[in-house]
Amino acid sequence: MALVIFIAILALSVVIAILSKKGAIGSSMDDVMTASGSFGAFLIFFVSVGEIYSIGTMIGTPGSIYAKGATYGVWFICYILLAYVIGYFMNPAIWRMGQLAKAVSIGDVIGWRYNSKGLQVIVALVAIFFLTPWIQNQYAGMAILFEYLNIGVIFYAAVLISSALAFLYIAIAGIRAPAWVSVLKDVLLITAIVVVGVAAAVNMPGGVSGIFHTVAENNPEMLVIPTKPITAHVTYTMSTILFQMLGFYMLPISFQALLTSKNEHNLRRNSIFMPLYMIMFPFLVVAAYYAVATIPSLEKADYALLSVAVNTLPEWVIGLVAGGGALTAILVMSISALCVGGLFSKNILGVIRPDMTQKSMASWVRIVTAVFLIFGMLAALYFPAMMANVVSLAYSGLAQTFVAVIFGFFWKRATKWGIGAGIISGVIAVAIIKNAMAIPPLGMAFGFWAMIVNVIVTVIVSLLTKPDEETIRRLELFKAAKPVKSIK
Amino acid sequence: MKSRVPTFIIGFCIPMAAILLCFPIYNRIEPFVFGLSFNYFWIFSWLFLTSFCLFIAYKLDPYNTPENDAAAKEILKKVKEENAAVMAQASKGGGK
Repeated sequence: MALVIFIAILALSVVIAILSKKGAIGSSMDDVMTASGSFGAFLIFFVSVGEIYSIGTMIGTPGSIYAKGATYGVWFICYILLAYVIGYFMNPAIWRMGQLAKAVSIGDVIGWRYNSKGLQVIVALVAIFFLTPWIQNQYAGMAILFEYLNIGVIFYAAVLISSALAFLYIAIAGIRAPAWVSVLKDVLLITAIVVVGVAAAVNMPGGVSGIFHTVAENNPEMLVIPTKPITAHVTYTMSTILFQMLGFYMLPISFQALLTSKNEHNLRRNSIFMPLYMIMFPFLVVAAYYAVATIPSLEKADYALLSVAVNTLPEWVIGLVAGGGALTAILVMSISALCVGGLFSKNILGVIRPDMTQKSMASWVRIVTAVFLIFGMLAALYFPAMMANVVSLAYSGLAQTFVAVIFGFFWKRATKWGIGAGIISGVIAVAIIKNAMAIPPLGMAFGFWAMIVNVIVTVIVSLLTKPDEETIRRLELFKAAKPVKSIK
Repeated sequence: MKSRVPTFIIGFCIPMAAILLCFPIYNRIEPFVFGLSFNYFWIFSWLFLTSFCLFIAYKLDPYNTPENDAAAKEILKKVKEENAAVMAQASKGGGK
């Protein structure tokens, strides 16, 4: 029964992907990557949330709470929430610069602003490098899903099917297919999470209150962030929230989703609804603490949500959870791989071979998408890692481009040398702190330190070099495009 | 010119303060509210309150009027045309 529902969900997604092709303009580069900026508020909303709430949200959040307590619950919820607050003010400016740059990726925007092909390549490389753990994370999530639920599909078959589907969406209609499929995925993901959360509350004597009182009595250290020793928890949580909320929209996929908007107004309006979409988190938290209270010795912490599902729900609902989870993973893989395809083809190949036609670039996108999916699959099979750590590594690297974008809005003295040196030193700092130090200095998150190094290097090198005329002209252009408020 | 300061205070400062600055205040188990420990009650409430703050900010924001949308579109179009003209000039002059 679970298997039938699982297959039905995947089949439905393919139907949606095929239908999404209707109305597509063509297969040019812009069309494949951003649907030529033709998405209205509705689709932008789903494209943006479609990538952020991955299978990591579903499995990793409760898993991390189960393993490490409130630190992870607070961190995940707060950084996303505050990122939306920043997004309200920052995203319209990014979109505007994207318009001037005719951009389809984060590499285009930064490369245009600082008038540097080299910078375009650097940003694209950083993005691709740090998207690998992101996609690997999706496979790791699926591994947990199929290992634990055991609905009759072996993991290897699941991996192959999902990679094939992820590629199929892109091959059918570029970004359009995953955009429309993400509507189905979001409905399923939220339904599955809400159902598990409610089942946990219903099955516990005393409901939600019973769950939290039991945990407060038996494991109070799981419920709050320990304040002693202070370095270990509070500063780590706060610094992680701080730099991740800044880096949130620098995720190449989120960045690309912004560029698909028709105008600035829609981006601002969407920000209002984004936090409401996070309504799944309370259900995840309830399910996680139900697991803490009633299922004390799980073999793997990441089984937390699924174990609650298996203990409380009938088989057909398990099929729904499996289908929703798998579709989520497939969709995120699909969009991430497309994003890498675009970055590689336009920002790296396009720079090496400037005479390449739009058409052959669009075919390169598909090739790279396929290669990257296979690469992510192999990485997942051979280097599994705990999910939350993978996400934090990906963020630490990707967030480094935030400095380039923010300076790009207003700092006249910023030069391509400064920005390039800043990004590179930020990434090197991530690598050093992550690998060479057991505990980062002062207990602050390593990505946070890397960002500080990044800012210092950017400022010093920028002041030592001179921005060329074109760079300054582009900043002036950006400023001139800013809408005036004095209409009334 | 209408000010954007109220938008910024309500849409940015208030949620940031509630979640980051108030951390030492809400990082506690008791009192329980609606069955939730206080920290989770606080954070879950702010999912809705942040949305509400952004809604108010959106309403107050002088950028979000229909007149402004039209004007923004015009300005962007004009700047793009100017840019295209400059680029055409530059490529004629033998530059990049």
